[in-house]
Amino acid sequence: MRIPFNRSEPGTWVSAGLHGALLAAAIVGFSSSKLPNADEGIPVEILTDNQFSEMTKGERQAAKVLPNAKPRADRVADTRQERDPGEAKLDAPAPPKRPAEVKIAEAETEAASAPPPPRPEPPKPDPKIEAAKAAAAKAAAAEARASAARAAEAKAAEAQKVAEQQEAEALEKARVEAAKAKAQAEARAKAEAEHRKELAEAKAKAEADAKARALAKAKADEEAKDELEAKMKALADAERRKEIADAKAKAEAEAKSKALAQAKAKADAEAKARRQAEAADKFSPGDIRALLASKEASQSSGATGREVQRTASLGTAAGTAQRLNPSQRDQLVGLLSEQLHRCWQVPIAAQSADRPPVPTVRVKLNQDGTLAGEPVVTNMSGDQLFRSVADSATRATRRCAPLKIPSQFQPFYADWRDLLVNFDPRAV
Amino acid sequence: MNPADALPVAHDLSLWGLFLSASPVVKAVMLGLLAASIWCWAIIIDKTLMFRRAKADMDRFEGVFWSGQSLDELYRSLQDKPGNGLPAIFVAAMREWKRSFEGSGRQIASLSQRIDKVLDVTIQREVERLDSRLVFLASIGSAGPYIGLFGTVWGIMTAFTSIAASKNTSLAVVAPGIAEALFATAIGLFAAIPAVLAYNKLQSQVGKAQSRLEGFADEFSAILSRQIDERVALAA
Repeated sequence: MRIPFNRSEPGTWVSAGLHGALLAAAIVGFSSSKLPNADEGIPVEILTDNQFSEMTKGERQAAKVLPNAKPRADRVADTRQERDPGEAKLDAPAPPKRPAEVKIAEAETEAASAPPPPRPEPPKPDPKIEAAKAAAAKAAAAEARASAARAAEAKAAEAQKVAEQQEAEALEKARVEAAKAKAQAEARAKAEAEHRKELAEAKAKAEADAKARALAKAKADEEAKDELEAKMKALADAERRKEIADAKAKAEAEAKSKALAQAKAKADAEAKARRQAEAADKFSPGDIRALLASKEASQSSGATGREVQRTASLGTAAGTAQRLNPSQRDQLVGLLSEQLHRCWQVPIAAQSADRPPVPTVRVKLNQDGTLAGEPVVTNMSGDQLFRSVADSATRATRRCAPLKIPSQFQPFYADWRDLLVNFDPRAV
Repeated sequence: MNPADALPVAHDLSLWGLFLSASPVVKAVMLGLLAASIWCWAIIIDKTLMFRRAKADMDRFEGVFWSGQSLDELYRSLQDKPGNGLPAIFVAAMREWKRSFEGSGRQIASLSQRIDKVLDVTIQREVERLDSRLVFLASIGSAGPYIGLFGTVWGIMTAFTSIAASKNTSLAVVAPGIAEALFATAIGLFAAIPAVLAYNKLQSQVGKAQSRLEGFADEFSAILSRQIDERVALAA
């Protein structure tokens, strides 16, 4: 179906275009949102404060809390050893495949065997530099001597040698040569005019670079005309060029030697890594023995104690809480309520009331019987007597503190640290 | 189909990825809603332009009509291309008027009633023209979220099936399915909200235009009936 474009009703096309643009923008804009990797939570067991203090001695896997909370004891022994059931494990980490000292020794031998990289390397007797230097020296000698013909010959021989030795730096050298030749040409021109021609010929023979040679020749010709000024100038020029050429050659030599040293170091490192890998792959019975020795032999893992206890109580190895038995509990409750009621001044109205209100006071105690917090009335009543009775009850609790807790109940602190006491006026 | 296959392992949360990983039903819902959105906007644009034109036409015609030009002249100029809106009403009434005076006898006894009828019918037709296709906006406005919700519910059902199959409730398993499911509702709302707003706006504009047409028709019918009465008095 083709929808014709109607100028008075362009809605379909405009709408389709807008939606297309919006979709494209959305697809591009929301393209790369990845979910983070799902990490499982750490298993956490949440305990209340009370539960923590009520943890009894025993084992975590046991079925229930026994009245006499005791861990399992398989055998009778003087010393008490608590072990989890199951095979004993020695938590010694497996020895490294290759002991550390072996590695160090290998590294040392390698270091000894490998020649130390010549860090402050003396400038190597590079043929190029030597050649350049020799050429310079020769040029100077020629100048001093002013025996132009011999110098020219020597120069030519030198130039040839240089051209053979360095093809890559042919241009550079050629320039140096040209400069030297120029200097000599001046000297020669000063001495004799004929020699200049010979020198030029020798130069032509020596030069690889035709352009440089032509330049030098032209210059030499010119210099023949005005000797003195040109000589001075050319001398300085030659000096400078020579210096530049020397510096360049030196820098190149250094860079080359550095690259060489680096390559060597890299090769050394690779070789070392290869040797270490080989050593690691090597079969060594010593390693296996060490690994076996680090594991304790399988043994009976029974726990020992004063008497045999077949079934463990539910609890933890570090738990110390004990439980009151019912008669002990009654005894404690009686003791506490007796103390509290003795301190209690029951309001007169409540004493005579038929059904007096009974406030319940929450008392938090420390281990020594002192109050750990303010006593709080926990219940409510619409009775108009309630307020006064409740106030008198909290007053009594405050007045009685510290409560006297007999020492035999001290281990059961978890049982009586948080008490709810009913203050019943009829019980007094 | 194993439900575990429904969710790819590497979840792509881009819009395109969400669409591709959705189940066929959800895909159909998304595509349908997208088409509805395109059509809604087409209607909105067309109607907006149409109302703007209609208002301009009415203004222009009323200017001409009240300028004192003779009605016969105006009728002659408009006769061939009556157009829409006020000109159409004018032409319909005038045609009825002319017809009544043409021919053998002058049927002016109930001419006024006939003109009223013609005006009513023409107004009806005009309003219908202005009102057309607005129903679609209303439908999308009310049904779009439900359609999207259907896609979402379906997608979440699939997601839960895959959760049950993979036996893993980590966020990485739950989230992509729910995201792609919610995407359907998002498209539904995307289509429905403009549709509802535009429907209300356009509907009020239809009402305004209709009252204006009716006002003009009443005035015009009053003018014509006065003419009729004059002629009847003349004839008598």
